[in-house]
Amino acid sequence: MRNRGSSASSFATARAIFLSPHYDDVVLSCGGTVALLADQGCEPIVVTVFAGEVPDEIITDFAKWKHSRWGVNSVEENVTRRQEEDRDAVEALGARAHWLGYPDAIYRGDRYLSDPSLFGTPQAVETGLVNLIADEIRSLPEWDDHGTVFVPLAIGEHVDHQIMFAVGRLLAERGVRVFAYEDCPYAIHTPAGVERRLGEVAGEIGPPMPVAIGMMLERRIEAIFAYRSQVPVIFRFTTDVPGVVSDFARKIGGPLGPAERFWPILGEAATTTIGASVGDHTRQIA
Amino acid sequence: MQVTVDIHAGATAVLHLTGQLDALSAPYVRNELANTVAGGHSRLVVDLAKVGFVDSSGLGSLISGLKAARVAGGDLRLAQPSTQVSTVLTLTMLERVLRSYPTVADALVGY
Repeated sequence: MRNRGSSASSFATARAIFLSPHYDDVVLSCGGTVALLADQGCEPIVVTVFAGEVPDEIITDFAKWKHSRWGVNSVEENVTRRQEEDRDAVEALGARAHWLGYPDAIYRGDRYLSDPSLFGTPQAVETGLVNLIADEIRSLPEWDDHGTVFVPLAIGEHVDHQIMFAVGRLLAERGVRVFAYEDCPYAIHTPAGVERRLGEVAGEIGPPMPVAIGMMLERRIEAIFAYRSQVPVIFRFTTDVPGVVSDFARKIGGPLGPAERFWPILGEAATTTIGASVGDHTRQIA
Repeated sequence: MQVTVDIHAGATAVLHLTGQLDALSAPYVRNELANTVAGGHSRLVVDLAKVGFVDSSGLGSLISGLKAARVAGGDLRLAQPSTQVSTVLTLTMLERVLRSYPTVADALVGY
């Protein structure tokens, strides 16, 4: 089955809002598409949702351990540094950065006190966060009912990514055009995680759409390196960050050249027609 | 958003907020809290009786005020939060640091 692929114009939209659970997720995963849409005049905005600050007195030992890995001594230092890096990275792609005030999962008390819990099932009480976040996104001054929203597919299962996928699903159910992006570097270093996640959300998403990013691949790589405090940790599996990012993008794109992959999130209205839409897609690309 | 400030004895001040505490009003509230602390009043009570809605940006302004107050040797307490505000504090687990009281008078006790 051949992917026909798409250009960023497939997202032709008055406004593009990319939702990033943490300060680097969008740039890491689909920075090339962000740059393409900026180039096309869509004025993309990258909204980091779990960007809130909390007083150091309430952070857990698990959060302190994370800080030590990132080389920071306090929440304030972490947030300040990461916002500086995020602004540099996002603006390098031609987009604008915006930060919401929800605390990162590691700052939400005793809900997540280990990596297994952080990459497991979100606590049931956090379903309330999904509604809060969805409402706040729709209240943004940049919101456009005819715009497009991008959320993580949640490959890798980080609870904040799962919450954001649920936000995307809720928005789609409300008639918003929503696409899920392929979380990197999770998809790069753990291909089995991609298949696992696709299996978990089968029926909620449409067929994959690779978007050719061409020369924007270099812009994405340059933007990734703006996250100076994070790159050594999140890319600890390789000594060749540009190489693994490029190789993955070329693998995704195949004959399209380097690409980034997206999946439309189906709302309730689309769910009833998923059989027809999948069938049509198959006939078109046969 | 409107903010009126009542100065009490010592270094205590009560800020009465009216309106929505959201992305649009958060910078203004942040400045008002900072200015109040800079004016020598670091024991703050934020009266939310007339605030029906707060979002994460609004929470951020309160956290900012709390930090400023603590650096100056004081604290920040919330009074009369609505159900919506209390829900947001609980979901984000920020009720651990943004302590709420049923009335302004209750919040002033111990200051």
